[in-house]
Amino acid sequence: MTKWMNKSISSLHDLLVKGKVTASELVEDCIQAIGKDRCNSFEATCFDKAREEAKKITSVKEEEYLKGIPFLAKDNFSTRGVETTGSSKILEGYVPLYDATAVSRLKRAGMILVAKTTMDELAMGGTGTTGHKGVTTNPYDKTRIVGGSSCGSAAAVSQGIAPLALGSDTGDSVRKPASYSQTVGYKATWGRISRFGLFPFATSLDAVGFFTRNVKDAAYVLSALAGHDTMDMSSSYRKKERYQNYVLEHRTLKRVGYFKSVLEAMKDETIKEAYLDLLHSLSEKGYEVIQYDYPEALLDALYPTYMILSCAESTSNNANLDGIRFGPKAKGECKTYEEYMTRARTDGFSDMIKRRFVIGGFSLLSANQSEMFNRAQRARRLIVDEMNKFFDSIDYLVLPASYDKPKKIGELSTAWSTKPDFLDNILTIGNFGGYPSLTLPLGVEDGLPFGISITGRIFEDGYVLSMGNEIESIVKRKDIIAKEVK
Amino acid sequence: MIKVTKEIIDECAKNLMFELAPGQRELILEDFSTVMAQIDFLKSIPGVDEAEPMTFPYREHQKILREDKPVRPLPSKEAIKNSPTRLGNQVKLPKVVGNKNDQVDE
Repeated sequence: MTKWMNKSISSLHDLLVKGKVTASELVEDCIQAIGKDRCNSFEATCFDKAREEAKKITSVKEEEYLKGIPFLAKDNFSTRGVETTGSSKILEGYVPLYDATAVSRLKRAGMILVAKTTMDELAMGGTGTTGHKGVTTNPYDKTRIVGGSSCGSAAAVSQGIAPLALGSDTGDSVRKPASYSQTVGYKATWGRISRFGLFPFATSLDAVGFFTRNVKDAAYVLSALAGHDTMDMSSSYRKKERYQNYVLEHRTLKRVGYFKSVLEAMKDETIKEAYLDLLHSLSEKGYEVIQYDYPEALLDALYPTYMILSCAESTSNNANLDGIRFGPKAKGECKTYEEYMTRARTDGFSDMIKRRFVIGGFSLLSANQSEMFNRAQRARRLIVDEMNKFFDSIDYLVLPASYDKPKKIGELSTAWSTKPDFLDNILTIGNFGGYPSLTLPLGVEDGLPFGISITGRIFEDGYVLSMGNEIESIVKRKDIIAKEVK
Repeated sequence: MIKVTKEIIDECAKNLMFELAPGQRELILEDFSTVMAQIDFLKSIPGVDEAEPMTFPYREHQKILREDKPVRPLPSKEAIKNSPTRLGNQVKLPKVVGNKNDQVDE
């Protein structure tokens, strides 16, 4: 599809250091690739600014690993001078006055922002179908979803449009789309990467994440993004590390765990076989593979706990979207500011968002709080306590990142799931406990990819990435560019 | 706990400052029948009501205080740049008191 953008960050870095390509050529290649996007992956572009920045880069040194390389950002990252809407009508026309810290840190490392990617509206959704610009499709099959909410970032990296795209992960919004698009999706430990300038969805769960095409690239990107930020009071003061060293030196821990009930519940034979093969290979390589009996009731609690907490937190986080300070002007004559705000919010939010807000608002009513919101918070405690018990004796939780093929676009339902399958929601464990968690490619079924996820203890991001690198070498699936099968 | 009715749904929407499209109330009512069943399920998990509510993923005590340095705030012209209803260097809205017939201008 393109000359350069189908290559990994490490390959592009080598070429830049040797002077075989320039940052300007990379930006032009990325712009061309955006023009050939076949999945509806983009919200906005900043080509002129990208060209201007690229011109300033005349040489790249060996230690400047990310310098001169284009990147993309999900449309919930504030980007100075570039329209940022969170894929919602209510923020159309909003142009931030500053960069999110994640964006400014990549720019500080010399990376060049070229475009903003589509997402589910305000990051609330897992299908990539609810943004104001329509459906973002799977690069392998345009009749299927690529997952969400970071749909555009996943589809773009998968298609070979850029080697890096920022995403955000509140439930599995980076890791599930990575599974469906055969990319590497990383969610760092909660607090490891500043969220300043990232539109909040559910503050106690939100984490910055990103997509690359191999694990080593992900480790270098995390090194650039991690570290305390005075602008984000939830960002950790713990010293950041050189995460790439874990990968380069193959520093892994030795105990790999899996859940008995997950294995029993898996129906897709192809995914199950690939998963069991992987566990077997790890065992042959000397890892201790341990079965853990995680209580099924807590797995069944994942969906309601996540939905109640995320809906409730989102109602207050989005209270500032009032049509007064930003967003389109409310239509028609308004006699009071309350009427003005009500009209702006009525027109600006989709029906799906309003339904989530009503459920969140109801669970926060003083008469309901202890039965609903607080009970979900208590259930979260049990889920995390049990997971921490797991981590007392096991170093990694290794599970499939998806358990069936990505859904057909016409088969989606917007209703609250009546019989939630815990397999569909299992990656939320990573958000409940704030654990670092990685998805990377595992296999393909009928031309459609599926991934494997690795979750580790908080702040053991380096060990998680290194285990990802180990699994990548076993599975031998890296640097893959999507070719449409249908 | 408050019983879920169409009126309560309207009240929640009003508190959240938006109106619901026709048919949405009914869909939300359907959602709630599932939500309530799942709340009952959470209630049935052994030990749930004795557990301490979890508000953030982990506890980390930090004793570092931020430097008390003065920072330059955004100039008002910049701060209101994204407002759709500005007048001069201020945001214009319908009057809170006084003539209720005032409209919002560009």
